[in-house]
Amino acid sequence: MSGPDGLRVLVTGGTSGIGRGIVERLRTDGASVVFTGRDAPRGKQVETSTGAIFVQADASDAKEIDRSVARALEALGGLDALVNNAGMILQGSIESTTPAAWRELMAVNLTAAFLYSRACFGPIREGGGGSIVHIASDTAIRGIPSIAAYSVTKAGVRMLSDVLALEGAPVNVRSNAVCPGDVTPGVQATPAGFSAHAEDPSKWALPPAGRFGTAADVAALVAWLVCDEARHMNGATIRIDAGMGAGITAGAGAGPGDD
Amino acid sequence: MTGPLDGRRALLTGGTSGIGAALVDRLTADGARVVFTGRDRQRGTEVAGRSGATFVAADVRDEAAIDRSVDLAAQELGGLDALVCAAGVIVDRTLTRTSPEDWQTLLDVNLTAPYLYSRRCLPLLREAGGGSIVHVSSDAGVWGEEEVGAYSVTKAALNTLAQMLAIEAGPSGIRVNAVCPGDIMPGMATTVAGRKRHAGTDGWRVPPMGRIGDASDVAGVVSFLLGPDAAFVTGTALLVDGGMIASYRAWEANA
Repeated sequence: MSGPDGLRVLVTGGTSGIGRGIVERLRTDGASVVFTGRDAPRGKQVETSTGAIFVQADASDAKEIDRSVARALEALGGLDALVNNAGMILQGSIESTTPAAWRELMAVNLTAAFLYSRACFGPIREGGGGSIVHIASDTAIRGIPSIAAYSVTKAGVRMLSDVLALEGAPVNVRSNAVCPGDVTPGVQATPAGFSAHAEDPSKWALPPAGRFGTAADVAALVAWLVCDEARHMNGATIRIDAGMGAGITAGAGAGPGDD
Repeated sequence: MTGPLDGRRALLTGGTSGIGAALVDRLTADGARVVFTGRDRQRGTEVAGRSGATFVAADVRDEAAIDRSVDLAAQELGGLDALVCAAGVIVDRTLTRTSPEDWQTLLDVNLTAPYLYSRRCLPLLREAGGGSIVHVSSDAGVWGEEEVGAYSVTKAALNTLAQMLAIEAGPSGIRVNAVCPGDIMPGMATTVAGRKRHAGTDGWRVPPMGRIGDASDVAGVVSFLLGPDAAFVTGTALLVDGGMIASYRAWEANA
């Protein structure tokens, strides 16, 4: 078996953005998929259009995380892969980030990734091994000050993927961190009390390749990482950003003499 | 007394043992006026007695206690020029063997407390016309360690926190750096669960420098980062590990 055909996969945060793209791609490739999300109407919509199974769950709630993993194991009869995708974003500096918003970001972006990994590690191992993919961010590699607290959580996710890779290697459970750059539609959710993330790609720097990423671009990478064909991929941090993070572009201000 | 930190007003968290206590000793010896926090009143009183620093009992998991300790420090010192976040905990477990409760404690102490302290102190440092923040992180935040999985996660995130703070506070003349110690004795005495290694250094891998680090090795680097010689140093995660990471990365460890 080389493709995702027949794989049993749990995707967190699959009702919109990159997560939805991952659910669609994995279903197209023949995987059995359970996905989570908070928004029931959107979840039902994705369920109908893809044939994946929707489980309503809030990634900031440990009990709902446990319940959704149990439902996935029951519905799929085991688990071959987990895609930790649920996340939220917050505009602003560290100083402007309120303690409540900070805690919610930590819970959803970092603690949920830990809890889902912890809950799924055993079942994946017992099924003969498999793969955990974390949707981190290019900010995990180089932080972005205008989304500072978000960047902090993603640096944590990247390290979480690394230490999980060390732990899983002897038992054939792989862990990799996917780090998308600017993707439309991207992450929409924000901590309570903040208006939905005002995604305005017109203000983003266009990658040299001339286009922003799509959920499908990221989903293609994920669909490969969960496959047996990617069996030698473990503990990798993979930028998928059209080269934006490869270094300092000519003309970006790093002139001769100051470097 | 004159020293490189003469007259600097510093708040330090987690100063009752290990690296934090060595920091209190060093910073006061270098001329700084220091207020330090900790949970253990007896040890706090001891360190205060020998160093001349002021001890404030505070648990960094308690947001109100954090606010109170910052207010007390600013009042006692008449302002603030420096913040050193040394309070930390470790759990000797792989990631999936870490309990949700221990995970939350690690996150609260090693990451959220440095965020809360930094956020609370930035206005005071700005009032002072600039200053320096040092977060005591770990080499495990630079290269993860399986046997302290969750700890590694918190320290990697902490390094990025320091970097983000450096960028946003730079225009106010505030520098923010992380130091990443390797294996240090005396090291982390405060533990959540499963910590055995601090009893001794038996079985520890020795870095290229041929010895386990001493808390004073870290204290010297922090003193430098707080002082005038580090005026252009900000946004770094500085390894103080005797070459351990360089050695691991060169495969020597696994050969």
